[in-house]
Amino acid sequence: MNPRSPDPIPFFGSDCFILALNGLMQRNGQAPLLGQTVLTLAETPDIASLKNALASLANRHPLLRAKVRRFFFFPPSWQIPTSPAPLPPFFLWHENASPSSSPLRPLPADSLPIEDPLAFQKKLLSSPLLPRDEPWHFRADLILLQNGKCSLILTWSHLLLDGKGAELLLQELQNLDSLPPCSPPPKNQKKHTSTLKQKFALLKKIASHFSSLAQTGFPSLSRPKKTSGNTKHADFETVFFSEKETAAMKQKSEAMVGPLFHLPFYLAGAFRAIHAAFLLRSLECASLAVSIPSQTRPKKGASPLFQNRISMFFFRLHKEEMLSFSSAVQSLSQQFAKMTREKLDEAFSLLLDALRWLPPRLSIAFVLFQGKGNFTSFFHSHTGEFLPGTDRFFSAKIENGFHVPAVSSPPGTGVFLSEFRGKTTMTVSWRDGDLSPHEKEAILHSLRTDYTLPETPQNQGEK
Amino acid sequence: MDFSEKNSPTTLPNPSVFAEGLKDILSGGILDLPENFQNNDDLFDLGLDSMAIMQLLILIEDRFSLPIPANLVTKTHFCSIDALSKLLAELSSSPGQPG
Repeated sequence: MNPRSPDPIPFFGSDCFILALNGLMQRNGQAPLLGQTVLTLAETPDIASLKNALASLANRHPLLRAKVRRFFFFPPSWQIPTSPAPLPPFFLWHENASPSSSPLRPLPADSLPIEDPLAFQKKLLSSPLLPRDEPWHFRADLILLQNGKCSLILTWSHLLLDGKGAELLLQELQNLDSLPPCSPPPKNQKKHTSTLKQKFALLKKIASHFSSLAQTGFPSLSRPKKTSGNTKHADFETVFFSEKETAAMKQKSEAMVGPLFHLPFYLAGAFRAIHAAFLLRSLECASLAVSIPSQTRPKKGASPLFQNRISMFFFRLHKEEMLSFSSAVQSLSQQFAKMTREKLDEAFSLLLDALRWLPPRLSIAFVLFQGKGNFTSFFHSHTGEFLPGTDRFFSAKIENGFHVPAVSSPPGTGVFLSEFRGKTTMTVSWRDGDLSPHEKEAILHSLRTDYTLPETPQNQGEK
Repeated sequence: MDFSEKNSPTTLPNPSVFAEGLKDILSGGILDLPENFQNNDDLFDLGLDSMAIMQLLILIEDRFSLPIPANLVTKTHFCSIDALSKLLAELSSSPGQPG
């Protein structure tokens, strides 16, 4: 190895899992796991400054075009490039005007026309990020919409970024001038403070937790692809809740789980929505289980933008608990307290660290074997307030900001939420073929009912 | 260590009594504390979010037998180990607390 090359950046345990999952997805005809962070802008931003900032950001963070390095049986790591960064992938588009309408603004000479921005966005999420010879782990697409607004779509590889990391990246992008020099990314994994004996006891606990989950099973809505040549595209629907609906949601959550911690509320809604789709399929489903990320990301310090710094909590609901929203919420709150007391998130983090040493294909095979073909029944997260304190992006007013994560199949579905200035956005994601239109409608209806309507016997009886 | 036995309910215990325990709880999986961590470092900058606060509340109650009332769960009280230790010292000396 070139002695002047920077030291490789080790993968975190959760990165290794995503790497293994990417491999599984590619073998099953799915593009690698991508996510999108979308900004809806009231007007056109300062495009020249945005391009310049992207170029500076690329030089500031060589990790954005790092290659995965694997060396025999060692865990994977990021090989940092030493060459100067080429121009990062920024694409400018404009929505094609209908023949009868006149353009609302002069179009930049280098923008290309697109017919349907939403179809374009879905295509981005379903395809490899960039051509194979392009090293980047993100791309930025700015679409000038027919109504005078703009949509900035940051599409990113989940191997390097997650939703919170993507938000930090956008924040950094427009504050580059005032930022201190970038500190090098951490060289070491999180050090567990426990002794070997304590670590063994923790691993035993998580193993027993998994075997208890496996006993009742945790099916997903994933369906096998129909033919070997077909790819399973990523699809999604975004629901924009009004300020009034968001306020109702928060009020309902606060009455059920208190002012601080809303996870049991949103997660219970997601559980019941996925269960509603199972009921439509007339599938026997004794219980569902889901892995929920718990962030260990510092907001400041060494390279907080990158890598998946999470552990997991594994929640399960039996079908009886999913019959009413309040019993689902109550059970999840109790499970969280129990898992916290038993330190199961730390135990899972230890397990992820241990799995780093396995070849990715073997580690995912091990996980799927334990879960009888699944590792979670669906994906779920609420990333909280989106870009707090940021109202403008390169001079354009931000009207909304949210994430659109793609999901892998299995599990085939996911429910994701975030909030921007008092308005919640919810994205339901699935893989082509894993949800029928009827099932999708059932999921959306169930989520809307549980989140925004008061608890009544009628609401409960609909399930 | 059972702090409730050591602290008389009528005198304000030294907040530092709680600091090591809190550090222990936080580093036990809730936050990734840096090697040069100081007790007055901002916990929110280190990634303390609502899930982590909830975990902290549960583990503080278990370890110190001190439930923290919801109205005291504020940014000011949870911004650092020093601030939280001070709150626990006050709570442990107030009448009606266990111990």
